[in-house]
Amino acid sequence: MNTEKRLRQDAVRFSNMTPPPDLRGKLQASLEAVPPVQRPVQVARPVRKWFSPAVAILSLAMIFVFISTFSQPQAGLLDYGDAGILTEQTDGIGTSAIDPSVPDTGSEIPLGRVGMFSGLALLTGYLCFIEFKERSRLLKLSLSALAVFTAVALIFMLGLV
Amino acid sequence: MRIKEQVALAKAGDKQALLELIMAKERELYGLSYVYMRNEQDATDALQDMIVILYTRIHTLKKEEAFYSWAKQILVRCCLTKLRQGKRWQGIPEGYEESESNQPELGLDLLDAIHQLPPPQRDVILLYYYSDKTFEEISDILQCPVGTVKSRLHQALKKLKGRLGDEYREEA
Repeated sequence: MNTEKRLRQDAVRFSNMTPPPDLRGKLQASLEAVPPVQRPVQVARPVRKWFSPAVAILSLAMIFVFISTFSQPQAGLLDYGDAGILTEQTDGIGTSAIDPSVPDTGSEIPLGRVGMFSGLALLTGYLCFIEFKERSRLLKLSLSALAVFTAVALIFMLGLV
Repeated sequence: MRIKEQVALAKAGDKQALLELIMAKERELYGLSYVYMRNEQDATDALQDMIVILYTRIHTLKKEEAFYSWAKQILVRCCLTKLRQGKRWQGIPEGYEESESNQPELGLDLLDAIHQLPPPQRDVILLYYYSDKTFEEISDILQCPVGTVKSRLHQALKKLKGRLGDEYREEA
C-alpha cells in the first residue's frame, strides 16, 4: 500500500476518535481558572430587510431605462413616420420642406433617459452607502460594481461607442 | 447559534460560548491532539492548554469563520511544545480502534514509525497529513522556509517507506 495513502487514511481515522467522557469538565475547569475578561460584543449587523428589494427594483429600473433608450426609433430630419410628414406647399413661390407641427429632434442624445438613469444610479449608490458604511469591504465592492455598470451604460447611451 | 455569533460572544469574554465551540468539534480536536501526544492524559492536557490560550487571545482573531483553523494551529503548537519538553509515548494507546482493513497493527506501526523520526521530520509529517496544513502554514508554524519543509517531508516519507517494509512502497 502507498505510504501517503495510508497516512491520509490514518488521519481520517484519528479525526473520529472518541474523547474521554470527562473532557468537558476538564476544559471547563481550565477556563474557570483563567480570570474573566469583559469586552464589548461585536456582532455584524445583518443586512436590513428593505435593502435587497429596494436595490433590486432600482437595478431593474436602470436596466429598463437603458434598454428603452435603444428600442426607441431614432428621429432624423427626414424620418417622421406617421406623425409628421414632409409637406410641400406649393403656392407658386416655393416650398416649405418642414411641417412646423413636428418637433425638431435633431439631437440624438436621449438626455431625459440619461438623467433618469444617472438619478437611479445615484440613489442606488446612496442606499449602498447607508447600508454598508460600517463594512468597508462590502461598500467598496458594491460601489465599484455600480460605478462600472453605470459608466458602461452611460457610454452606450451617450453614443460614445 | 451560528459559529460567527458564538465566536463574537467568546471574544466578548463568554467562557461558555468558547467551551461550546470547542465541544462542537471535540472528536476532531482530540484526535489531532492524540496523534501528537499518543496518550489520553497528555492529549487532554494539550487541549486544556489550547483552550486557555484561545480564551486569552481570541480578541485578536479577525475573521470569525477562521476560528477552527486558528484553534487547530494553537493546539498543534501546544502539542509540539509538550513534545519538545520530553513527553514520550509509554505504551499501547488505550481505546485505539482497529482499522477497517482488518489489519489492527498497521495504524500503530505507522504512528510508532512517525514518532521514531527525528523531531523536525516527525513534525512535518504530522502537520501535513494529520493536521491538513499547507507547506506555507507548516513553514509559519515551524519557523523554517517552505523549501526546508518540503525537503523534510520527502526525507520523512523515504524513511517511513523503508521502516514499514515492502508493502508500503509505492506501486509501480
